Amino acid sequence: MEWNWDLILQLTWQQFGYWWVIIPATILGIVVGALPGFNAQNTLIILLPLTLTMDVSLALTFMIAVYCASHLGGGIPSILLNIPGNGGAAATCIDGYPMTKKGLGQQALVLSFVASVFGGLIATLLTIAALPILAQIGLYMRSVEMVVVILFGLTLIAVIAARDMLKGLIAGAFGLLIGIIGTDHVYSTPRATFGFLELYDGVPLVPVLIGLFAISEALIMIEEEMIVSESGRQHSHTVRWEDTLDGLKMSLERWWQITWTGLIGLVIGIIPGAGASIASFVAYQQSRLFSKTPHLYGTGHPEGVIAPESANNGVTSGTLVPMMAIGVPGGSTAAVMMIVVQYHGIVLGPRLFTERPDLAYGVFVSMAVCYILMILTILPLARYMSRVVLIPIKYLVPLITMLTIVAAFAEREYVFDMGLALAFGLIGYVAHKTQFHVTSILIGVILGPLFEQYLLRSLRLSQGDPMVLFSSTIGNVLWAMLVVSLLLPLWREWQLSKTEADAKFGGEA
Amino acid sequence: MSDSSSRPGGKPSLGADLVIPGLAVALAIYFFATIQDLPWEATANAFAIGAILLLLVALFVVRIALKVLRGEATLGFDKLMDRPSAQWKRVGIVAAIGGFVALLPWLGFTLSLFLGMMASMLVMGVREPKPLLGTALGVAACCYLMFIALLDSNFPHGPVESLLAPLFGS
Amino acid sequence: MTHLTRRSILQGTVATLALAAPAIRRAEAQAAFPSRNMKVVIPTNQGGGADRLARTFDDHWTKMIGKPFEYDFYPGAAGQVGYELFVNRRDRDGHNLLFGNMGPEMIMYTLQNPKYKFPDDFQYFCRLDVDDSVLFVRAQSPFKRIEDVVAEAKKRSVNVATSRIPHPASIGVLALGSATQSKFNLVPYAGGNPTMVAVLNGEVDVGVLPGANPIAMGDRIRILTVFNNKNALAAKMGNAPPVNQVFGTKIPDLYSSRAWAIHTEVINKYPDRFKLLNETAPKVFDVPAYRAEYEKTGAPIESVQYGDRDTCTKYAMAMIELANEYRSLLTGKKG
Repeated sequence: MEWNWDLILQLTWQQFGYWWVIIPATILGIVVGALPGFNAQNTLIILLPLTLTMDVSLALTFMIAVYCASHLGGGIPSILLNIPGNGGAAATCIDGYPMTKKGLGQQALVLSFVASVFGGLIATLLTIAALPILAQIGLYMRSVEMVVVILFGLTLIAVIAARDMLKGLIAGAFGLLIGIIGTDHVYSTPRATFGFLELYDGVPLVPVLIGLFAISEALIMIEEEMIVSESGRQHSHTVRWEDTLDGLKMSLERWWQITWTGLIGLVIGIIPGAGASIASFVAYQQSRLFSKTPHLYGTGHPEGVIAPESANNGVTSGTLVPMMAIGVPGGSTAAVMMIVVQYHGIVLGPRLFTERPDLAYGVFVSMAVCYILMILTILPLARYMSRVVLIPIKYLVPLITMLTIVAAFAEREYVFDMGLALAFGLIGYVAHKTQFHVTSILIGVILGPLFEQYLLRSLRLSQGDPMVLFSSTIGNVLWAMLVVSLLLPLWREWQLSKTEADAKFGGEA
Repeated sequence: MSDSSSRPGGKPSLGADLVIPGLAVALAIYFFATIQDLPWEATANAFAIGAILLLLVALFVVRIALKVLRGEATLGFDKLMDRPSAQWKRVGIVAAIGGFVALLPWLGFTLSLFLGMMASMLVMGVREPKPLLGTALGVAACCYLMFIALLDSNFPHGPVESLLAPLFGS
Repeated sequence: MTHLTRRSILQGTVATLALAAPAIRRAEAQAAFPSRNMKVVIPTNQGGGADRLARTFDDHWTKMIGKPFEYDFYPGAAGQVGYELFVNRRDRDGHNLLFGNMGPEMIMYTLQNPKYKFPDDFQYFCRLDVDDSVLFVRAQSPFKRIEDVVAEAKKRSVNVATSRIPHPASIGVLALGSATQSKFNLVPYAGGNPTMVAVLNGEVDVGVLPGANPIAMGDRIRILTVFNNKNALAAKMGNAPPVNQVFGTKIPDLYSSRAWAIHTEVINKYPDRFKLLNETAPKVFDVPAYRAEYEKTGAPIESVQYGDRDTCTKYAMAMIELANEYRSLLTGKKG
């Protein structure tokens, strides 16, 4: 495909002209991203009557801004309240919330904003530059390869569980089993649904997320007066611009990490069916693997905030690649965008790049411009958002429990889901109190059904032969990488203990 | 680390640690019971995960049993029962949520949300009428505007919704 | 003191509201139909074929009945969730409709025995399209004709991507297998779009779907045969021959048909409401703008074919019969 700089420049100029759409859409996206139970997809469905009447490129810009901002917004409650706004922000809790407890909430927010925006921006720019090549990725990642990619995400269960492996693995296996409740993928027969129609589709993610994180966290918060620790409170009371600058500095120092975790998001996003949750889990796990300070992960480590946030925004441009290049949506939000585009009589697919290059590239240019405007919109707000943690617990707990229970209803509109959230709240509370990591359960619930789906599909393709899992070159390379990523930490630990022993021995000599 | 929340000076009580594994085992057994007659595609994954889970739990039970037998731990439930002052608040909040969900089909969305907010703030110790009523009213009103007037969601309607329906044409 | 006051205020409010409620409900019931937005349950994914078809259609239908349409998607359990929810949890007052894919969903109904009854609980009353099932390969595939595929399937079991196992297209390929003693292995991909990707990326040898989706893919897809006794869309399918013509088999016509459905209770209890819907819907087919918009989605305009309540019921009953015939192949149940 010929490079057309004039077109790109012209498109960029045009998109900046849409600032009056992008900024309100960004704010809307951040709000729906931050509220559990809402997401870009259901918001865009509600707004379809509006977008269908808009000019197609303006409508796309609007939808893209909502979509990208919602992926950024999800991390805000993860950091401030330990309640992820969506599945893609669950990994952000692991290090984001400990930072808040230390009084570094504002820094953590800035880290997540910068990581989200630049992770997303870098992935988008790369997409514009290498779209035809990237489109091929979707065609090479088939069911077998997906099994291994999901296994990468699942190894995070073991990583989180490092302190008590047995408990972590039990929590993960429990989550996986919960995740495969529902009808089977081949014959659609219900399994372990307790007779509830509401569970035929599987255990819904939003009530589980709300229960395990929000309700259980609220039940624990009750013991305190405020979220922030006594020592951090003094610091939080005197919010200053310096904290924002401090967060900026922290993130810029880690530019390389933002870049490569954003690219993990891009690649995973391109694969149809994979999304922000897998991307953020894999990015967190990989980032810890290659870190010089893996033991700091989970204690409020800035890199633990950057990795999942950068990756879940890297996904945004990735999911649009199969839609634009093959005409098949890569995710549910992309499916909604496709409705709008098709409504205007535009056929997506390879021909779009010759017939309507302004639209084909316009989508990605628009995404890049959205990210640029987004950072300017959101950064100054970190200072004010971080004050949420100063609301006294006696108001915060009722607000969190009631509003999230309401949100549990919002996605599927079943009263059943509200009860389910409460049940998972109690499970989450017991898990918290007895040190079974709720994130491990959640990873199981999210990845369990995907894992089963791809595994069964692979086995069905091979007519039952498990060796199919080792039948593709790309798959085998991924298997090797998986083994390395499991063994590397063990080897490192062994090296470390050896050096320590040597030092001790040397000291004694 | 796992023992930090036990009674100071006493032995760690590990009974509570068995709640999650117990739930997991119960789910696994129920799962197995529902899939017995299904073709292999529908059962393979559940049997594999279930088997791993049962094995892990067995190991875990052995670990706890050894500690108890050696007299290093007890089977109490202290981890779930600590801080008695917070304990009744916790029960109260759970009851408030349960009450909200149970009343929802009868009283409708807005009214039950208002009552739920009031109840949970009372449980948390808010006693001043102004913030109490103000917060509950504010939350109920905002949620009404958002979910009923604006989004026309399928939340159960009650007296408040019916009364306000002509105003917002929903 | 405050406690008492608060309680009395509350009681008072509740009482007033409760008194006012029935009066308001009555007023609502007497209002002209439709008095609020139409709510539609779609038992498949958003962005799928049903979604696209329904939205193109409702643009023009809205103008005739005066209220817009809102959609909820419940794709679970091959559509079972959507239907059960529609039948048991949606008000039976004419404001709630279902837009379904009659073929696969009646087959699912037959095999899974869910908690609703056709036609006692709901009925289809307006068919939108007739979409013949086709067998297709990607453009680079070594299979040039359907005979190549069958010849290969006599040597080894050929993998076939399908949207769902309980689907007319799946029955088509199973029937072809048993008629020609060839072996096909169905792999369900849970939707037309993922099925398309599986064929495009070569994960499976061939795919079966209703024709509209492969036709929209243009020259990246080659359609090899159609499961109907005559191919009305031959020109758009590269002259793919009907399967029975090639092999002399007697496989029934296997097409998908999307249709609007309504609670049976509404037909009996509110005949005027049903009359309005039933009489306005066919008029949409005559709106030139509707046909133009339909064509813009890339689907063939020839597949747009109105069918009334009787046509729909007959088709649905035929699907139940067909599913019973192929029950053992479709469920894979032991014994």
